[in-house]
Amino acid sequence: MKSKIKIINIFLLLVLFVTVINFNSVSIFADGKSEHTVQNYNFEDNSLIVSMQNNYANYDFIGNLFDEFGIIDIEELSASLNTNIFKIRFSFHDREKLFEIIKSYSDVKEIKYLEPDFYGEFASNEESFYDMQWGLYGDNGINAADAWTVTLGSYSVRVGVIDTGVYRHKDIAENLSTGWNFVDDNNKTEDTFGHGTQIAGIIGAKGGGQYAMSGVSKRVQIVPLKISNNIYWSTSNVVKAINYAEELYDTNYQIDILNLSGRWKGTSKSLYDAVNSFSGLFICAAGNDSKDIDVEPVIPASYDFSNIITVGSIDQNAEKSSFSNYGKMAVDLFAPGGSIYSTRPNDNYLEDSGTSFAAPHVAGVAALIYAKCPDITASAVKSFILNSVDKVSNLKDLCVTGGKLNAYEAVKRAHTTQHTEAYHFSDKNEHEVYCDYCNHFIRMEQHHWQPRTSKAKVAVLPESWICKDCRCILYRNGDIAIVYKEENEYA
Amino acid sequence: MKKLLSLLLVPVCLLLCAVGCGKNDEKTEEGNFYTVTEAYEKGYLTREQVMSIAYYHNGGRSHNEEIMSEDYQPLLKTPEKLSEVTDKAIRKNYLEIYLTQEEEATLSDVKLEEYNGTYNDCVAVMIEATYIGYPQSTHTEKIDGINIYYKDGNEILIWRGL
Repeated sequence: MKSKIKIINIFLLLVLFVTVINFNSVSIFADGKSEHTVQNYNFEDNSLIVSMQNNYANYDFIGNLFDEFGIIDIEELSASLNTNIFKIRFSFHDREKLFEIIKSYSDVKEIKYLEPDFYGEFASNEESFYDMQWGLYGDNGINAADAWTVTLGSYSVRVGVIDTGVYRHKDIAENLSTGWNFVDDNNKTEDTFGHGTQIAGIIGAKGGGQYAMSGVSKRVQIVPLKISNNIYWSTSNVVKAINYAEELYDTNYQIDILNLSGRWKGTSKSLYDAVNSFSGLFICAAGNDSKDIDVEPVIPASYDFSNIITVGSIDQNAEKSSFSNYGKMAVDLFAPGGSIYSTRPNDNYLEDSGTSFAAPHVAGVAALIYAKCPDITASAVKSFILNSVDKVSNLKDLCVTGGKLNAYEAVKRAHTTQHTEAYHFSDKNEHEVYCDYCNHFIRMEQHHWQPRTSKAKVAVLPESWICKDCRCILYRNGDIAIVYKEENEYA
Repeated sequence: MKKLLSLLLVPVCLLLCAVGCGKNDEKTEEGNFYTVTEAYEKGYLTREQVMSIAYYHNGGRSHNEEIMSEDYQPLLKTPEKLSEVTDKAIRKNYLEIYLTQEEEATLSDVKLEEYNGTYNDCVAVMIEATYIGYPQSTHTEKIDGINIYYKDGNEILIWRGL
């Protein structure tokens, strides 16, 4: 009997011990995960997400609070939602150090919570869409999951969807910004037709957690630019939408990318001028006429500007979709457009096909690149996307690159290529930089370098210049000068 | 005097006739457009006529193998080719209805891409216009078990002249 009591006592002690251990690992994360659990997840090794108390949600306060760790920039997430959530990017890359910071700031009363910036994981809801979203995850998809190990996107990147509006679908709502309705000339951009909601879902459905479907860029601002309530899309409304986006350029509401999943026949001087004068990146569908648009041009797909990417459609076997237009000169690359699942009005989903759905895959990848390289030019983004395609023999003579979109390669290439050349500013001369690679000083001659307007929305603005000759971009970040090299094989 | 009056009346009558003819011409150019679904629901088209339209547009039995036997024969288009007058009337009507926003649009900006037959007073056509684009998603119009497949947002229109 005594031995039985002893066993029970030992058991109770063990239970008590385990309970105490568990109580000791008090959650410091918003969703209640313990540190031990969290360390098993993938997350960015140089960033933290911080939620601030109401009176302390400003850049200066956060900057001072974390100053000692070396901040590269601070970005407010979902500014329009007033959630007081910011992302802080540090100059170091150290997972352990991030946890030390989280621990040491756990008692700071001005902070609601502090947590790592997790990479995308497949939550249970999302898993149900895994098989259906071949465009993201399939063998011939765009390799989105790997791209998300580099970045999930950024709320500072804004993508204009020129279409039938966007329904506030549960999977998109958090990434949806205010736009404009060019049909009724007001800001009511709800989508009753459905096409625009499908495009928006492919670009930026939230994914993970309570959200079912993932877009290519999980963090992004979708700006609905409503040009129609139905199938009839007038060029004049499209021109208005592009001009609207151009007017916002270099403001806090800059639209970095425009997606237009429509095609016109004939010519339009006003559309030509509008696309040509847009400062951002313009992504368009190649069209569904099954034709060579080098021979029978359609617009805007056949326009040849440095800021436009024309996208044809492939199916799950990486074959050109039967309906897709093609063209060795006019079509830049192919992307998934056959049997694509996406969001529809009233929180529905639909599988659909068309070059309409190939274009937003590219727009989403462009958004990821902008997220990783905020100061990049439109032509550079185009160059990175085109230079990183997977070559496909069947597509060799059907488009400029002879390949299909690869999100991971494009984002990785943009990120790594642009940071391979680093220089230190000279102590003596602001216009002189020291190259760490070549071990010599490079003088920034005035006639070669001109100041470049940076985006006002980035919290910590690097000084930047653009070379008049080679179009390289050099930006100053503290004492470091970084040159963005543009590759121009296709751009 | 009577002769003089009658000589004056002749050109006046001719002028009135010409004006009258012109008005009649305009009248023939007025009509309405319907989708195939609308035309069927309003009773302007029978199911057999819709099947024929689908057959011509889809390029055969494609998308309707279950309802069209291998030896299925569509109704004759009658006329086989659209007359220039009707072609122009449809384009003019389309211009007036769909291109009101585009001040510079002319008749030459509207083209009949496809003619799928005339049934009673209904003309089935696909129209493309310079100033109008379409979303590039495929879709199928389903009418009483009949599928009409479209490569993009553009659809067959049924034109009924007044």
